[in-house]
Amino acid sequence: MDAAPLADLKEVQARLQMVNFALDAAVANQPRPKPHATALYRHLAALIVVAALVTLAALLPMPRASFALELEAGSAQLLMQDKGNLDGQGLGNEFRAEGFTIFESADVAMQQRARDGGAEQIGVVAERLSLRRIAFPAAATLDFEAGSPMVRLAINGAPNIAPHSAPDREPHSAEFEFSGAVSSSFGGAPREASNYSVAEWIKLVSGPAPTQLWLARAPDKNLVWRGLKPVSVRWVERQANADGQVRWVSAIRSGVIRLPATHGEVALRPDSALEMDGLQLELADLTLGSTVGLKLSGSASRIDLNTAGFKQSLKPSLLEYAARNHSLGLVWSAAGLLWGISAWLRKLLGDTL
Amino acid sequence: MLLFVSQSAERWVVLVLRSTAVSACVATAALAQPSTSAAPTPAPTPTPTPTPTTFECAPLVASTANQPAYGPARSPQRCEGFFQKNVSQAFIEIVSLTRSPPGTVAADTEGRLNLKHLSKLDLRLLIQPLRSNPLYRVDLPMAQGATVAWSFAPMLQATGLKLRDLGFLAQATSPAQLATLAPVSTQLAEDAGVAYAVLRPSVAVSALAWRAYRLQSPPQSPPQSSGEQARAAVNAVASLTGVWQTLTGPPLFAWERIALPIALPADGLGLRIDVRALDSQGQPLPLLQFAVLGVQDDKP
Repeated sequence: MDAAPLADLKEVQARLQMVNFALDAAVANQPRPKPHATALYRHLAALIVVAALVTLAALLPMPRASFALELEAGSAQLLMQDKGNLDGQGLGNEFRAEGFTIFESADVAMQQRARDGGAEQIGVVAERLSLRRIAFPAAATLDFEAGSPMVRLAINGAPNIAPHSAPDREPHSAEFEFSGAVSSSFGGAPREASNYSVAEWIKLVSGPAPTQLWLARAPDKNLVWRGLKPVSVRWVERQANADGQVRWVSAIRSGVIRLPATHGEVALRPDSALEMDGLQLELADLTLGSTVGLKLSGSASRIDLNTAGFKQSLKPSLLEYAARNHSLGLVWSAAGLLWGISAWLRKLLGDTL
Repeated sequence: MLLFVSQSAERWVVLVLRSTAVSACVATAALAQPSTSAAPTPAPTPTPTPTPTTFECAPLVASTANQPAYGPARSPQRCEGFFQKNVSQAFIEIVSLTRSPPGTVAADTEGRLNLKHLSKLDLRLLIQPLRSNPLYRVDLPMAQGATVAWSFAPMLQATGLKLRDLGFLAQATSPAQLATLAPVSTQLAEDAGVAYAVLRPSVAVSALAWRAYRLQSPPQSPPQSSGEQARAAVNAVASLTGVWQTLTGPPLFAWERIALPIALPADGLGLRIDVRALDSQGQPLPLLQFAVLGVQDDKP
């Protein structure tokens, strides 16, 4: 009676043991991921991310590029951000002005003539003549054109931005002073001679239309303006083909642009078209004579050079910048080294603890 | 070790990614800022009319060598201190325009100067040495009709100057290019009909000439109302002929001062002054122009 259940129990026990063994074996036979393989995947992921970052850096340009530019051109167009002045300086003995609407002077006779004949077209030849000041509003465009003996300066106030509204440009003004024997013409009328033994001044104020000034240079002297704050610069001039068709070409004669970020230096050829936007300048000197000389130094958000139909941006990519910039490389390699050392130390301490 | 390195590498990459995302956002924001196309950034607003709450200092470079450096100061609100020079051209300038002869100022018992102007505008008062150095100045708001009680001890202590060495200019803060000034009343020895301008050339000057005049009415007005009538009105004020007068005296050396008495018209309206100086070679310096506000003028 007793032996039979005992035998049964033993058999059940044996079967259970077999099942356990079988389960253990089955579990043991299943392939288990090795720790080394996980590490490899993670490495690969890290490598891909780094490669993607480097590619991105190679493709993305720097947001701003610092540069130093020195060039000679036939003309230059400067878009000014803020209102400002072109300082006065001595001129040769003649100037002409076109497009101004308001004429001011302490000389009653001259003011009368400007009223009758119109201040639109004025020519003054004077024994001693100087420019007092040219005041321009914010966002005005100044077009400097070299020449000998007369240089030309065209000023255009910023047009009203709102569409369908009346043209409402902030006025700009030009002031001159002169003395000695003077011959002047207003509104195309014949010249009239007068004499100013001490001095006289005139101020011309523009209306909504753009204006232009022709200024005679004093012999062997250029007009120089320092500390201008243009936000964009172009160098474009009109040129007529043999068939009389007028086309716009680059006014650049020669020049060189240096990019300290990449230690690069690009020589500008006479046919290269350069466009600069988003300028923030520490130095901007303009010399107006038989050529327009510009010295600019600062940074730009866009520098495009078009040489013989091949257009390129002179802004270096982030990768170029990083590769050429030794201090940046130093920072990153030092950071990498420190990270390696700290990882090694943590591993060392983690093992011993 | 390898596992550990790759784990920290992952963490590092995540960190780098996060920071690049942030800097990319910052960069795009920075790029979006200076949009240079058709929409120009608005011009900085002109200096508002000086009120006690919004008084702006002159755009000068504060001195680094001398203390106190030029900057805002309180009670009363003003800007005061040493600054650095930033001009380098031959010129002649006006350093003081007062109703009393230069050098005749008197303090009250509390060590203050009581200054006012009689025009109908809010102006800003500039107090500076008549000499070319030290480069120290005080800017104060000067409302119409109000008397500014200026405590001069800080300036005299810092510069070692005396009261009679100071010049006073009450300037209109107008957007116009022309310096527009009201004669400062120091409430001492005043002749109502005369203002005294102190002129200072930066180079030696061999001859000085000046004239007082009024501009004709602007040309936009109908011609019949301007021409003869305006000229008759101008000629009614005897001193405003616009004829150049030479300022007699020995030739001036650089930075020497000369006082110019200006007869103020009886009609209480402003006038304009031109000063022509010739340097020692007989070459003209840029014409000095300024407008003097009359007691009746209510706009610059």
